[in-house]
Amino acid sequence: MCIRDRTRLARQINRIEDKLERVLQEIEELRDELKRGPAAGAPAEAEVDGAAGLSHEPPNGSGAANGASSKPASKSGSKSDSKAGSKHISEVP
Amino acid sequence: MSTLETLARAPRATLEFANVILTTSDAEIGPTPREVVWTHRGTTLYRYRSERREHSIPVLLVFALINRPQIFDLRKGNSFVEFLLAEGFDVFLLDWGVPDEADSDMGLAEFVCDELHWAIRETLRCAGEEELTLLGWCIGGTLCAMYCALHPVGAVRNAALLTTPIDPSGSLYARWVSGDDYDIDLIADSYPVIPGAGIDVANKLMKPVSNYVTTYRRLFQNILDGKDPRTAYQSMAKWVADNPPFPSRAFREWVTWMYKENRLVAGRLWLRGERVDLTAIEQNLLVVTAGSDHIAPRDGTLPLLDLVASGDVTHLDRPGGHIGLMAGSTAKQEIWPELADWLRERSGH
Repeated sequence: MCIRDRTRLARQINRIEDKLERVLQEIEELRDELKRGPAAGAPAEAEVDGAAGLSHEPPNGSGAANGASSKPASKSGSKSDSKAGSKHISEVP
Repeated sequence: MSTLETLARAPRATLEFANVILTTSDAEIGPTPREVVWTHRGTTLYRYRSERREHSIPVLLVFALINRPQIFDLRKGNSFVEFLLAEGFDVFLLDWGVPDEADSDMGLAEFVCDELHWAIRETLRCAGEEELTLLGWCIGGTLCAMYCALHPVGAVRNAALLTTPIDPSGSLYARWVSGDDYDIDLIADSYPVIPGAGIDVANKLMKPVSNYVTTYRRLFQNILDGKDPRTAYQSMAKWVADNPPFPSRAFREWVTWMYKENRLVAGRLWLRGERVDLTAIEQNLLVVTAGSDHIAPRDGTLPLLDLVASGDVTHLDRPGGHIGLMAGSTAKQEIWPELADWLRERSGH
C-alpha cells in the first residue's frame, strides 16, 4: 500500500468518524432530554402557556431552560449592561 | 568570579552544558495525572485528577495549533494545571493532537465549530455543569474568541484570553506574510500539512539572536556560575522543540484571513455561513497581554477590549514574553494568582 492509498484511507476513516461523532452528539442530546424527564416536557408546556401569555421563558435554548437559577442572572446581567452602554474595562494595575 | 576561576571551571561546565543539551529529550513534561474524556480524530479532551474541586464551573484550557498544550503543565512545581488544581478548579485540557496528511481538510471552522464545540459539550457533560470557563492561549485564544462570538449566550460563562492575536496587522508576522510575495496558496497546495519544524524556524527567526545564541549562552553561564538550570531548561526546550504539523487548510485560512485580510477584527470572518462578530461577545472577559510579546503584540490584542459587548471586561498587561509570561519562572508568583482570583470570582453558582 503506497502513502497515497494510506492517506486516502485515513481520510475516509476521518469522514466516517466525523459522521459518527455527529450521530453520537445527537444521541447524547436525546439521552439528556430523556434524563431530564418531566422537566423535558416543561418547555413544551411553557410554550403553550407562553402563547396564552402565562410565561416569559424563551422557548428555545435547552441550557437556558435548565440553568434558570444561576445562569440567566450572570448572562442577563452582562447583556443589559452592554445594551445600556455601561461596559467597564478594569485595567488592573 | 575571577578569570582564573572561570578558566578552571570551563571544562566541567562545557561537559555539563553538552550533557544538558543532549539529554533534553529525556525531560518529563506534562506530569499531572489526567484521564481521557473524549476523542475525535486526533483531538483529545483530558480531565485532570483532583480531590478538591471547590469551584463548580470547570476550566477548559485551549492552546494554539502550533506547539503542544503541555506548556499548561510544563513540569512539577511549575505547572499552571497543578496550580489551578491546588486552587480548587476542575481543569480540562483540549489537545489538538498531531495532525497528519489525512487532516489536511481541517480548517478553522472544523476547529471552532466542531472540535471546540464538541469538547465544550463533553466538558459540561463530564463535569455535570451547564457553564464553563474557556481559557485560550495564543491561537487557542483566537479560536475561543471566535467561538464566543458565534455563541454569545450559552455554555461559556467566562473567557480568559492570553496573549491572543486579534488584529495582527502591526506584527512582524504580518510584515512577513501579508505581502503578495508570500504565496500562501503555493505553500498550502504543496504541503497537506505544514511541517512543524518550518513553523518553528519561522518563530525563532523573529528573534534569532535570543533563540539561537542568548538561550545557550545563558544556559552555559548558569552552569558556569554553579546554578542548576537543567530541569527548567530541559522542560522548556523539549516543549519548544515539539512542533506538530499545521493542517494546510487551517494554515491557509489563518494566514489569509488573519494576516493578509485582517478579517476578524473587521467583522468580515465567516465560519460555516455565520459571521464571527466580536461585538457579539457577552461573556465575562479577561484579556491578558504581555509587554514584550513579539508573536502576538499587545497592540494586536487591545482592539478586542473596545469591540466586545461584555459588561465585565478585565485587562491585565504584564511584563514578559508570549510564552514566558505564563510559563516563566516568576509566573507562579505573579500572573497565575491574578488569573485564579479572576476565575474564582466568576466560578460559583
